[in-house]
Amino acid sequence: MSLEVVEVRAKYGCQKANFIAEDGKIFTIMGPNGAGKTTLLNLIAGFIKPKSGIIKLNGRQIEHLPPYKRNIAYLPQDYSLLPHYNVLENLLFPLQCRKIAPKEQKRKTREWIDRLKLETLLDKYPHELSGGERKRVALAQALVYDPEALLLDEPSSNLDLEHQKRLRLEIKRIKTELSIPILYVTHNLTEAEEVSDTVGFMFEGVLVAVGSLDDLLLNTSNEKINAFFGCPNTLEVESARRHEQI
Amino acid sequence: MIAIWEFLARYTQVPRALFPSPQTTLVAFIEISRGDLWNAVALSLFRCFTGFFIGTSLGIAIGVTMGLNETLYNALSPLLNALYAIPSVALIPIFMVWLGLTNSTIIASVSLASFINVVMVSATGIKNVPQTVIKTAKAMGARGAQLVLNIYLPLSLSSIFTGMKLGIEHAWKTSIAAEMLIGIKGLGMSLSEAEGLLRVDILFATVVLIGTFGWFFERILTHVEKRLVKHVP
Repeated sequence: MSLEVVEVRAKYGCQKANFIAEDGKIFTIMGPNGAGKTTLLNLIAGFIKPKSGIIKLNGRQIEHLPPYKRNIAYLPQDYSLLPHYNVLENLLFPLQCRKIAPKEQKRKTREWIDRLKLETLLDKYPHELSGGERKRVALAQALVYDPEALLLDEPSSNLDLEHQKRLRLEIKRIKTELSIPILYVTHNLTEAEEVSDTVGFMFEGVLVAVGSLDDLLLNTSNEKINAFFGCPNTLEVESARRHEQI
Repeated sequence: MIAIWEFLARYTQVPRALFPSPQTTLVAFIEISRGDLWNAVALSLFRCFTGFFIGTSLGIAIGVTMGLNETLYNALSPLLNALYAIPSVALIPIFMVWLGLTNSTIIASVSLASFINVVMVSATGIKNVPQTVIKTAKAMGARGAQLVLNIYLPLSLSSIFTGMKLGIEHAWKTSIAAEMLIGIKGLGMSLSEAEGLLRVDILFATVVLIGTFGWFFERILTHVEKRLVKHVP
């Protein structure tokens, strides 16, 4: 069971992507700005129609389906809670959209309130929450309807270091508990080191390399990856003797 | 304000008959309220609210549809903007020719005045709903009517109320103006009658009453808006 992306291509942004994100694993997508990372997530979530390629979720082909039929949770970078609903209403909304029975709605909401410790926030409106609280509520809102995959676009942006750390811990816990594939877009090497099981590197719309972070950092001869991580693939040398040609 | 009015009435050279003091105006108000004033008020309010209800309902329905449909918005907005630029009083003679000197003429004029003020503001309100929120809601499974009723409408409510406040203001003005032009019983005709009798005190009393009603309508809508629009910090 997994999320499989085969030769996916969009009109703009993403030109070629091939990878498999496995259940219970975090697949981190890294790359410079404008590399097509967000476009790739939008393609998987169903907000952009692919020009070609196949997207499979747990063996089911989904690239032709609208977002609401894909059962994928997506937290865009500019994710916004619904401003006119309080936290509890925000958590109930996706369940109501899916016409889940009220008793089940209550059970699922309670589960995520307890998991992410949201009890004290239930009556608050989004503008009354701190950045960290908003992210936790957003995470609960995205996961409350039992999605089959989770897409996170720079989830720790706009958070201070402490809240970034807490959010990463939550995500790692969710990974173990839910056993669904998680796609995690980030620029931050420390963040990638902490959460990733597999890393994909995107450059100019193409997913150019997939592997462990160590593989990408140490064993690649790809200049683009080296340039991104700030370690050019060259060694400084000095000739043993003056005027000697190397 | 009343003190300035009193001061001007007392210490300027303008004759009392042309510029009555607040006290004289109050006496005139008591005089007309013992007569047919409340009947005229009821008729004006009925025309204003009937027209406002029709115009606002149509304005919100068409405005929301325009906000959701870019093609319709581009097709209709030039016409509606042109209509917006025309004073609603200028349209009353057209309705007079079409519908005669009747209640229907006033209600139609009031409806159009309300409609024009509500429709474009509602459309803009819908178009201004943040795309991030729409995307979030779609990702969570909202679509079609769910999206319109749970996301678009609540988030554009503030704009719709702004349109409604403008709409009721114009509805009230148009209703009074149409009564004056047509000569049908109502506050507008009360003004015309007082003018004919050169009773400036009654004119003042009626104008103050009209202004008070206008202010009251705006306060009611603001109060309802505050109760309904929860997301504004």
